[in-house]
Amino acid sequence: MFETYLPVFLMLGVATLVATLMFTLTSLLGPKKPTPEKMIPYEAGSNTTGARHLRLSVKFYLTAILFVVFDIEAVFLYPWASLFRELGWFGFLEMLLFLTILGVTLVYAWKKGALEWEK
Amino acid sequence: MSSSTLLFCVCAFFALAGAVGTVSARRPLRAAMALLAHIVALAGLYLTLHAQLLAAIQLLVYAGAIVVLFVFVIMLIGPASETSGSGRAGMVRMTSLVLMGMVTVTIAFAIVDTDPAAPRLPAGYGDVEGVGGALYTQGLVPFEIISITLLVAIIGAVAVARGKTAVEKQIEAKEKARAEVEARLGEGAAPAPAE
Repeated sequence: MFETYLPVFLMLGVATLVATLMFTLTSLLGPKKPTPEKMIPYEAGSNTTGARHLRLSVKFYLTAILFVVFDIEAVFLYPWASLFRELGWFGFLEMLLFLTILGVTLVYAWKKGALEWEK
Repeated sequence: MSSSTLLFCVCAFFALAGAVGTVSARRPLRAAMALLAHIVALAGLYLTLHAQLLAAIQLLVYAGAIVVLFVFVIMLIGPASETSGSGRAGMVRMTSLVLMGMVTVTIAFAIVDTDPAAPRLPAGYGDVEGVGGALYTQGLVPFEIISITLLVAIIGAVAVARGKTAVEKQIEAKEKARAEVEARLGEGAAPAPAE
């Protein structure tokens, strides 16, 4: 079984190695001549304005949780799709009920304006 | 050492390191990144348990979506969350130690009870067809309850992010009524509050 996943682990190792090498090499080889001007946070070349921490709108959170819910819905579709023929009509109706309830969820979010960006 | 033992040791090390980092990091974003490392290592541990589908879902949902959600929440809360100064740190530590001890003892009893000569796993255990077959035939009710749970999650999120509570609606109605009265009183009265 682990031979099946060997390419995955190889890729994970290579990706980690490349990322680590990039960061360590740039920090080792790159010249460092800091001046006070260079240490200012860069903001389009002009002097920085506003607070250090920008607070995000709650809209991003709502979009993220909508994504999570429908992501989980999609996860349950994969095993169902691979077993579609074996499960027959029973599996079809079962998934239809599941998707109907999640369709109600989508309609609710839509009607509440959760899908609108500006409000 | 077999390849599965090696995988278990590496993944267990990273899972423990990630878990310790999650609870000990002072900066919330670093804690979230440690949680990401823990989740990826946990996916590797699922592979050692022949739960391939669960490992894939762990990466897809937890590493992909849940960590993103945590990062969003950290960005929403802002720098106020970076200070962890609370006077009850000692009590919290004691409680977590006691809870951890209870979980450890439970796991130890479970391990003692397991039969080492367990029967071999059936073919297809833990893969897409195996899990799907169990879920869509024997686990029908839990599967349908999942959709209702997701519906509740969306209602909660919309209520938190969009909805107005009854108190807020009352305040709004009062302010509207007051603004109308002041507008009727004419220019001599105080100007209506800006919308």
